[in-house]
Amino acid sequence: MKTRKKVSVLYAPGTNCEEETMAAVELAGGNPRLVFLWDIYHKKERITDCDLFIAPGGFSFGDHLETGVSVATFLEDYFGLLEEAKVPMLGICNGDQTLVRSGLFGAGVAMIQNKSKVFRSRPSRHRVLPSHCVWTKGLEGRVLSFPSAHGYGRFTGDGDLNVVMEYVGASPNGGKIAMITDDSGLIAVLMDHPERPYDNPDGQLIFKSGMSTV
Amino acid sequence: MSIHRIIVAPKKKRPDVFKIINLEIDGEAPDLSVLYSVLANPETMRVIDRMPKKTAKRGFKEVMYNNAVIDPEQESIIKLCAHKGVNVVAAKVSYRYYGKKMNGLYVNKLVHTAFTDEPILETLKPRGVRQSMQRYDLRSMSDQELCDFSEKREMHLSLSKMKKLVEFQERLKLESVTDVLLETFAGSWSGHCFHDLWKSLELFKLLKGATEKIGNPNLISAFVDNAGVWDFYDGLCILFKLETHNSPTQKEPYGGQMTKLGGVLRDIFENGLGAKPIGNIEMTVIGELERLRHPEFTGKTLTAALIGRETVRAIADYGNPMGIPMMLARMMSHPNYSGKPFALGGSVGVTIREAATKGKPRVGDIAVLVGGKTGNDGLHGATVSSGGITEKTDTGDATHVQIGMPFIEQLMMRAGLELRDTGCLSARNDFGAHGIPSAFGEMAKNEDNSGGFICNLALVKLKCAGLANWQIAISESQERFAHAVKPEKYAEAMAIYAKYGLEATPIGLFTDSGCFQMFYDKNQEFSLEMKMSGEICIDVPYAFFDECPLDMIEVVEPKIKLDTMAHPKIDQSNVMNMGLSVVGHFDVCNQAKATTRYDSTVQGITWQGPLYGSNYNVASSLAALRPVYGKNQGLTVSLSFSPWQFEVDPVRAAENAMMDTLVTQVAAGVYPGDIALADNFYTDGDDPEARWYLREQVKAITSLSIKTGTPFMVGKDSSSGRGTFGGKIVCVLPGVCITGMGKIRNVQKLLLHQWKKPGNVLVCVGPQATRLDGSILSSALGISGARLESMLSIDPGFYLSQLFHLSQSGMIESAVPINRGGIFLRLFEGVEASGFGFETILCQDLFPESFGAVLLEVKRDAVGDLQRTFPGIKPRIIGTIVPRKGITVQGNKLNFNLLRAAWNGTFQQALWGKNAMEEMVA
Repeated sequence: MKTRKKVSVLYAPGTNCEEETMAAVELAGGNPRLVFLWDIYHKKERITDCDLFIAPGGFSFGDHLETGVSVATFLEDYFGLLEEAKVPMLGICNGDQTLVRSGLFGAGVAMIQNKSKVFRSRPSRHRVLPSHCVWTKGLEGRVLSFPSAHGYGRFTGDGDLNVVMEYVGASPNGGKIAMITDDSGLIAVLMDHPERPYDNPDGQLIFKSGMSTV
Repeated sequence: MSIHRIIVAPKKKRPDVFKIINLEIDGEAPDLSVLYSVLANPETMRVIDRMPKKTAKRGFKEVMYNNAVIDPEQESIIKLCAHKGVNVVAAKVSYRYYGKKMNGLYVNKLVHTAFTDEPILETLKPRGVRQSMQRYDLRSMSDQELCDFSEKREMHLSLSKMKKLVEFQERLKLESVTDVLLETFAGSWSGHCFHDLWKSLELFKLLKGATEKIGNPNLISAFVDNAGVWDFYDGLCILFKLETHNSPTQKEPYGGQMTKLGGVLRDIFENGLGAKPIGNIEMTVIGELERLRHPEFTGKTLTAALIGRETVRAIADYGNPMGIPMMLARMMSHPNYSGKPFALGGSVGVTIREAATKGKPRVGDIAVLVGGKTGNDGLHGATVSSGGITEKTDTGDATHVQIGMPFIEQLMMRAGLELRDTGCLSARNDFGAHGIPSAFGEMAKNEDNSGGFICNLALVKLKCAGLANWQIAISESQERFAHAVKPEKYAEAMAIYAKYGLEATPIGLFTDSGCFQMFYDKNQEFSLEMKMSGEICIDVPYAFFDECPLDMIEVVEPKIKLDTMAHPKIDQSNVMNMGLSVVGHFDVCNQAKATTRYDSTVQGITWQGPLYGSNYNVASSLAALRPVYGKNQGLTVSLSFSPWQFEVDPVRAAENAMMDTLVTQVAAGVYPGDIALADNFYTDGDDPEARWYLREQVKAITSLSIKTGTPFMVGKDSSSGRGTFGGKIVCVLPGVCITGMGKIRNVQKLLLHQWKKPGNVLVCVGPQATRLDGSILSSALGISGARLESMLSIDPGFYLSQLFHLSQSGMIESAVPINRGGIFLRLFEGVEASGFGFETILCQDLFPESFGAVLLEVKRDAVGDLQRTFPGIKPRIIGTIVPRKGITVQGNKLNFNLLRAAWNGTFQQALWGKNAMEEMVA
């Protein structure tokens, strides 16, 4: 019997997409488990005790001061452990903002406010580009549909970004880039929500792709 | 103690907005540079020593929360600073604006301070001197003195109620009564909490009686808890609740609308033994956007445009962090809401059957106050909201303003379910209006008044220094929860609170004393042997609360409107102009600019959200969720309210709203017996004629409820729809919003709104209006109307039954109700959503609003069948869907681009246009 991959889904105070993320992971064949930020911070839990790691969406710590900064700061000594252990990581929406803020994509990358200056919740379409990202392996050239819901979702960067997906048609944030990966291809972030709805066939492709690589 | 200001500027050449993080630090100032990378994103921001000189010369405005208000960001900042080794005791974030950025800046002095010079900050903490408890001998006061005293304290108690308090003083043999006792009864007997108008008119009896008579087997809990509960499938229940927050929204729209949503969500959390909110509902009616009917209000009250803008911002800022999808959202405008808006919010939820009904505290259970700290916000919310808005309450007293903190409330979403599933609580309640007496006091009250409650106010954690006893007792600080924790589960419950970062404080006990008791004693710590000591604030038998005198209510039947209104004849010569008037009307125009600011897909369960169509910009009449992962069972919501109808004929408008809500669901395929209803009345209870309308409306909807077999299971009445400004009174219309919540076993079978295919025919079924009175077109033309036609010409029970059978017949491709804007608006929306076109054989009949009728898309070859099989619901062919985009009326092709421009432009112009912003600045 095939063993289900252990997928840690991070819960920080203010996270609000953990349930649909776990439902989507489970449907895609994974074994999701909620891990609490404070348990990692207080060393009750090992962050690397998983096959894959997902930072889901929400408003961690109320987005106070800046999106993602609190989780990135509290876990500043921990994300590197996942990177060292070569655990594939996916940051969705607030998880994207968190992983970018934590510096996993190098200096010069940041998430900035939508051009409209306001939050936008609407359907979006994304074209998968050729890349070395494990989360979109085999999906190159496909157009995937899943919704966006964010206020600070524009990628900005000094250097070249490893772009994995770009928007097709209207962009919810005014930018072209929808998803990026790091140099290893194991860590990827996107602002839009492949877990909405939890059984979205396009979103399932991303979760399945990630799990098939470990 | 020292205050340090860290200035953060965006990395751009000439920044004109600066963020300043103000930190209050105990003891010596440490090296703050360790915080810089946290407080400013190094990729986009930088920390600077001081404001650039050149910019500073141009003047500025620096805005921060005033001292009485805790900055919602404070807690996160303190935690982050501690992580970096800096001990911060208080924090506030301010923003400094220069140049054009100062234009249109909205500063509400009840909440904010705006500095135009360098701020001199002594502390960031709320300051205050604790008032001692006041005592009054009511027996010595004359009738006039009693009335004056009641108004002076903002208790808004009538003379008869004040006299009852005098009697209590005598019966309790007290030399004097405390301010805590007075405030406790003032709140408990306020219209907001006691609903005396409704009790006097015996309206509850009518509504509840109808629900009992129907005996719907889906009904689990109605009118007894924070929300109504309806059976779902497989051992689950669904809940819903809507309520208004009109007075706070008029005073401070952002805070008022935020806390509206926060309050209604707590009603779901804290219903029974706990539930999860899974959908939000939003509807706000603002006053007139151009002050045509009430020019005298200019400069006296906040503008409708400002209230509208702040509503959008608030609903987004509260609903999005909560992680609850927006299901339906709409804003309307009507002159009668210029003194007080109709700020209605709602939520639906899901729970397990075992936790669906109201819990009962056991003797010895611990009263635990959970969530935010208690402050001076929202004092007198219950009594002021029951007393009407005046210039004084509108601008004078900061203590009425509530600050919403969704971050804290969101923590309870998950924690609350864990508390439910571990069986830690005997009962739970929401901290809404009127603080502890309402939240804990009501929990302990049982039918024979044998239950009791004792509480030490000194144990309540405060966010403001120096709150008096009465302020601690009745504070309406938001994001607080009242839990009756089982003593044997106390440690487990406290561990769950801690796990989610929720502050929880035991403050009292549930007893069998039959008395409501509060005292203040700093020297008595919490224990299971709590006894009254120190300052005795209140010690009264629970039975006293039942003795609220009901004043005589005068009800006067209004004169029948005899005048007939002249509406224009609509033909080819003017149909385009009439169409433009309808689609460009504020109430029905494209409001996607607001709706897309609300997250409608979070939780991953949305089947049909608030918008649909290929451009995702047409408003849905029916929203649907799939509450359970892995199952296609559906929860549906519809809502109806049209102020223009209520202006013409409040009673028929109530019937229309109810039928509209019901047919929206039934036409989609929801069985009538699977729909539950909510009523939200908003009237001017001081007007005897409005009371007559209220009574007749309740009679009308209860009669319809019985005829259709659809019970009301939750509702709320606000009878304080009066604003007085500069001697001028403006009253809201006698109105009621009817909301329906239904269930369907397979959501995939729902008939949604979007047209499927060119060649299909649109058929209208149900009642047919011929008059324009109370319509959107009538409103656009400035003609109010004299009367509404009855839309009950077909027996409502028979009609709904036939409509349901039709929805299951396989003949129907899509369905949409005809309501505001008539058939014309539905055709426009159909074209916009599908990209197809439509050719109609009607012209004049496109504009009357047949509330209760439905527009059905039918395959051409099925039309005859439909007409033969369902003649009783009067099927009428409207026209045909065609491939090419546009609307053709009796062969005349209308300019669709022009219609689209009118539909798209109104909302933006009304709320964010030049005129809307200028009036605010002035």
